Amino acid sequence: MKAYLEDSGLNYVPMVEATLWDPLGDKQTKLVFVVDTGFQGGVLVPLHEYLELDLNLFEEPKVIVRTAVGGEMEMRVSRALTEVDGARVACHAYTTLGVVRPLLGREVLEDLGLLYRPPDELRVGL
Amino acid sequence: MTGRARRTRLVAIKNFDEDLYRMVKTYAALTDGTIASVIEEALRSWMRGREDYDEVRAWVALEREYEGNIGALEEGSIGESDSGYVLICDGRIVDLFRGYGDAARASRESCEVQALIVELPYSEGRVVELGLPW
Repeated sequence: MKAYLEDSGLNYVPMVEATLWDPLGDKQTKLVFVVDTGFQGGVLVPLHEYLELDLNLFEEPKVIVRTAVGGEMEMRVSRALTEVDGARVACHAYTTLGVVRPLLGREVLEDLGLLYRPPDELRVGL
Repeated sequence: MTGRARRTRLVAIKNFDEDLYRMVKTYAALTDGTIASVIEEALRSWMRGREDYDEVRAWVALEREYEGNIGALEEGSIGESDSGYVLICDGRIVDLFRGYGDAARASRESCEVQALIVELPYSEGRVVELGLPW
C-alpha cells in the first residue's frame, strides 16, 4: 500500500492506493483514491470500474447523496470490500455518471484510521 | 442489439427548426423511410462520436433494469415481518435468503444486467453526505 500527499498547488491532496473487491471477494481492481473525510460512504468509483467488478449484480436501492454545497443527486450503490495494506474492510461502493477521481470515505476510514499531517506525513491504517 | 423487442415512444419536440424539418421529411421520402428513422440515424451517429458513449449506453441499460427491479420490490409480496435478504432481477423477486452471501452468490449465478439485494425489513430514502465535487 502506498499513501502519499500529492501537491501541485492543491494543498496536499491525500492519496492512497487500495484494492477494491466485489462483496464475494471474487473480482478485484487496484485504484488510487483521494482520501475524502467529507464523504460519508466507503468508496466512490467511476462507472466502468463499478461494472468491471460486476457490482451492478449486488446493488441496493439508490441513495440520495447531498453535496457540500447542498445539491442532491441519486447514486447507485453496492456492497464491496476495500483492502488497504492487507486490511480488508466491508463497505459500500457508490457510482454515477461522470465520476473521474475515486474517493475513499469515512465508512472505510472509521475502521482503518487516518493520520494527515502535511506536508510530509499521511498514514491510512493506524 | 439484444433479443429484447424494440420499444418506441411518442416524442414531441418544441421549437424544431422548420427548414430542417422539411429537409428531414424530404430525405425520409426519398429513402422510403420515416422522419423518425432519419432522426434516429442522426442521433445514433452523434452518440457514437461521443467520448463517453459506452459508459452512457451501459448506464441506460442499468437504469432500465433498475426501474423494473425497484418496481418489483415495491409491488412485491414482501411482508413487513419478513427478514433476511431479497434478491430481485429481471423484474421479479428471485428468492428470499437468510444471509447476504447466499443472495450475492445466487445473483452472480442467475442475474445478468442488474440485480437488487435488499435487506429486510426495507426502509426507503437513505441520505449520504458527499464532500468534494469529484
